[in-house]
Amino acid sequence: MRIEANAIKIKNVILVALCGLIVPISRVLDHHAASIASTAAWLTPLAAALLFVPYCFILVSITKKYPDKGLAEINKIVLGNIFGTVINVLYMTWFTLLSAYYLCKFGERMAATVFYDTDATVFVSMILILLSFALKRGQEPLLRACSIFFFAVAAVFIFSLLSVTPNIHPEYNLPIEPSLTGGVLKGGVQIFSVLTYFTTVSFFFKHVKSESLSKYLLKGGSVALLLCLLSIFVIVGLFSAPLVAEMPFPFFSAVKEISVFDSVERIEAIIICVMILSDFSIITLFMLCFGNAAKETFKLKAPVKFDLILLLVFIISLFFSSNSTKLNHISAAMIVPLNLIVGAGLPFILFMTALLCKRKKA
Amino acid sequence: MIALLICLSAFACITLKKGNKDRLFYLIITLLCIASGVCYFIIFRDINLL
Repeated sequence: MRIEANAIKIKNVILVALCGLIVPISRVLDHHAASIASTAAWLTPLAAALLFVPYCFILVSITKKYPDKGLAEINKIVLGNIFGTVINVLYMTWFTLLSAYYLCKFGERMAATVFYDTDATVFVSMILILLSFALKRGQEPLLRACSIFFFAVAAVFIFSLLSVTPNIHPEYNLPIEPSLTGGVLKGGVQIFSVLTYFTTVSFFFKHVKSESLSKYLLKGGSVALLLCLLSIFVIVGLFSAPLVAEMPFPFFSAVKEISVFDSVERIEAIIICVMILSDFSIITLFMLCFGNAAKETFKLKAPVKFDLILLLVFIISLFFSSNSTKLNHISAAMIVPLNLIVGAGLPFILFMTALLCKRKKA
Repeated sequence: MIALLICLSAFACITLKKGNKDRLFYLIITLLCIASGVCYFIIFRDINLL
């Protein structure tokens, strides 16, 4: 059977989003969950699942009503030309800020863990050059490649976590007290804020074959939550919640303890290098979404050229500090609220507006 | 960095002369690059451009 060269499948986009989600799961969420929910941190993904189900419903309802149309186009249809453009520009700002943030996070992690005494800007520049070449090839091959990366990254991620399971102290994940309920719910909101990256999937709907989004979205969300649960359970079980809350790179510290058959040790550099694929995927995903949104909003004729946009991302990344403590603070103070407002709030407003318009017409 | 900003300004001027919808979009991005670059220098590098 001949496969269409330009066909994008929802499955591919979901896999790319999942591959990208491994970045916050392995670096930010365990730290946040441990500092907020303490010993009950591993329950936070379950709290996030409660929010994820209605979010899925909203996203599926929107895209079902307007098949073969991207979210940027739907915004313009439902909210009108002016408001639609404003909302699309907000989305584009979100993508730019997230790309800059993850770019900065990538550079900082490489400089602080594997290549000591090297300026983070070197790594940031290198991945930007790579992205600039990759984005010129068009979104279809890039999405397909990144969806394959997911399996490599997920395998390494799960292997790393399972390798340290013999050293886990189950008592570190206990007790679960009623007083921690507030913390668990708050941690759940933080995890949900990361799951809102699935909104990016709807920006590709103009280019994908009409398939059932709900099935893939629920599957993708479940995988992300399971990875999150595994990561938090293992890392908190390994170091205890108060220690994880103070550590800049809990996952990396856990990986350092891996010993394959008691003979091969210090394999953290290999693991960190494979995880670069995940960084590459998340920035690629945001850039492609930016391109799709820009094309729909400004009615661009030619394919979007990403060189200047990447330069803008690079300059914005300079604003974020390269210090891991400050980056975690930026994540909690700026990125989480931004994700909730733009990633979940705007689709909700769109859904409600579409619902009201439908009732008015009826 | 300053050389880069000068190059971007030159690009913005050329784009403005030719003018079409695609180019206007890139002009906006270029201006954003220039603005954020200048802000970075003023705020973080503590350079007094005036």
